[in-house]
Amino acid sequence: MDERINSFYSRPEILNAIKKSWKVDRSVALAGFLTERGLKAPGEMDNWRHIIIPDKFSFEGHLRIPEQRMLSAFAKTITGQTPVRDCAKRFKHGNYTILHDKDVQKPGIVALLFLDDWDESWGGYVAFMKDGETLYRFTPRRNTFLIVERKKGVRYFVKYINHRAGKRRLRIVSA
Amino acid sequence: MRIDYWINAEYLDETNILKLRAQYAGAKPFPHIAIKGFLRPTKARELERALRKQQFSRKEADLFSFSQSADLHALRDKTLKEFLAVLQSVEVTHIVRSITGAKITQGKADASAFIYGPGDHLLCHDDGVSSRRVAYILNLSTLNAINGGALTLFASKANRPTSIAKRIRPQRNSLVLFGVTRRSHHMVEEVLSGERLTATGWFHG
Repeated sequence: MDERINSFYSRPEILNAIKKSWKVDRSVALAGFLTERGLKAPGEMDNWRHIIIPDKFSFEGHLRIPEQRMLSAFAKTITGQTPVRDCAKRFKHGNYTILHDKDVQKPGIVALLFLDDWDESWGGYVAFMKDGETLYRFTPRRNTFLIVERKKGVRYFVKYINHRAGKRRLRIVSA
Repeated sequence: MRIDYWINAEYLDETNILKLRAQYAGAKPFPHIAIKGFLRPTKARELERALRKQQFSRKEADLFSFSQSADLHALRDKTLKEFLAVLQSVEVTHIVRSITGAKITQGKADASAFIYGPGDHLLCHDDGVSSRRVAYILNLSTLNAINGGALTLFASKANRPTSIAKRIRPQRNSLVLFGVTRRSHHMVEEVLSGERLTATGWFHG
């Protein structure tokens, strides 16, 4: 197991318990996922670039994700599938993603590492939806690795960040 | 119900309607207009009081957060019933048709009330649902720049929204109209403080 991952998650009995839980729930949220050393590189990413299509999304993106391969490998260990790749995203006040009618999100595994603690009243929660119904909603917590199976027709969004977030930033690294 | 009890007499005058038509057609980034003092002030206050007595439900999705009343058609309040009758009247249909040039059908207007409190918003979209021809927003509160809550209109390229081209701040008793097209992208900016109360809906074709 990669030494940047909390050694707790390398214990066979823990891995087996996570796999068992995955088979039932098709989603897991792993708290304290990386060691502090493992968190250093993603935490220090700079040169974020603002990306906006007003009726689809507004956030800062980053294409080079130092821990992507390691996160992807772990998610594959749990789910048996390679997660869908995406850029890292940083959200601040006024940023969001929208489920646009014409966009199709392909089925697959979504694996997201959250780098910041967050309060739901600031917006920024992640919601998985199907036909207008919320299937799963997650409020970001620092150093939590979220793995979710996205079946056909399921899409997810990051809720608009409102002014209560102040100058805080929400960083999400995709495996 | 007498229409002249509700609508400001200025807007029942054909000459003024023609002026509004020119203003609407020339507006950027797409045809729209904000008509100040559309209702007679006493009726605007009466409508506001009636709406504030209604129950509002919280609505939250990827696109929005706000509180919404039931469809005004379903409510029993006498003032709200009259207001709906005004929206569906021959006179208002004529005013909206004359200003916008849209083929709207008399009697086909819907309405709900919305309250946006701090943090509430409606992100960029185009309103594009089949029979909607003209969107309207009757503002029943006033917000300044510091309060947020402006209706913003987007410039577009090849029917895709590009950037904010205009902000219309809510002004009590102003009626905003715009035609629903593939480039009528708009949003309600987040309310930072205060409250944005509107009666909103569409005139249908």
